[in-house]
Amino acid sequence: MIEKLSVAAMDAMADPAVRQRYGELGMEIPPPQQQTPQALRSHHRQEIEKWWPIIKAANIKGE
Amino acid sequence: MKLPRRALLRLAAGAGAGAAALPAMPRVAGAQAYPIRPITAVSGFAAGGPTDVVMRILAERMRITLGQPVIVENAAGAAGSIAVGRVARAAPDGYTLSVGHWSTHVVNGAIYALPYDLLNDLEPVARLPSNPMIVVANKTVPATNLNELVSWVKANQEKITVGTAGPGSGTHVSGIYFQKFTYTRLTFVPYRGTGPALQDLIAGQIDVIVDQATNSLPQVRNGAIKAYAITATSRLASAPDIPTVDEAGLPGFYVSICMACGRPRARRMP
Repeated sequence: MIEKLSVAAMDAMADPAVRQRYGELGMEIPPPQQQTPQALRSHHRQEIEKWWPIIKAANIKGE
Repeated sequence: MKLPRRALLRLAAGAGAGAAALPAMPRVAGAQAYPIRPITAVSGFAAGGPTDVVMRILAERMRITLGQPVIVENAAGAAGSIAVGRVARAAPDGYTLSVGHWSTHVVNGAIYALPYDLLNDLEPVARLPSNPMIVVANKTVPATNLNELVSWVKANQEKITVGTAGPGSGTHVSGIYFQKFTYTRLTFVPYRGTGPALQDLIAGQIDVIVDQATNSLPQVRNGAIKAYAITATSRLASAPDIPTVDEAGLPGFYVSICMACGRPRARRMP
């Protein structure tokens, strides 16, 4: 099930018409090996590890 | 009312976990038939905004592979956390997706006490396109490149104003990161979104924004504001004349609004 969703999303990002529309918006499409659920999980973890200390140190209060 | 729904959720969750734990088991007809109805992708922002637009483009094409429409639903509020929370609590049946980005799925976790766990309550589906930030300033700022801008900011830091889309927004966190990289203390001016902040930058009311590139580029092209650098390792295909922060003098000053979609994770049976 999750595989079908991931494949559908990755198929979409490989489609030239989709790529063109993203390009026009200034969006950068990650290479296929970075689009996978596994790659997203590790990227997500890295981003949290990078940003949480910076944001917490700045003591930002949300709205 | 609550109990049956919870019990149902647990049942669904248990079924999902069981299937995942036994990959060698022959698949039942029901599993092969997925998806048999439309899938909802929940975004935490207004229709027409970047999250909505990016997901709609993807959704249109996903329909071809899935044979079912993917409907984008915008549940704005609480910095996008209402939408994410809704997906985190949804049945893990493959019919509810969370679409979000750096702010909703990373930054919010450091600012708010969220009623869900960003890493553990969602199952990743795919990493979607990203958009780096761009360092922009109003036209009267004398600096002609990023090095000059940094010197100018350092020399005038008590007077310099940085526009943001509100506390905890991507532009705010990027501005704080800019401070950190330039060893300065700047004054942040919060707006109700990047649109009004950009308008005030054009009007010369504020000095600098570290803005999402897609938002600022049209005004850079019009000559209404100055652009100094892209906060990524490579230049943008859509703006190849603007240098990266590595080339322009702030190596490593990377910020990118990466979009992604995930779905609720199947929870274990208690």
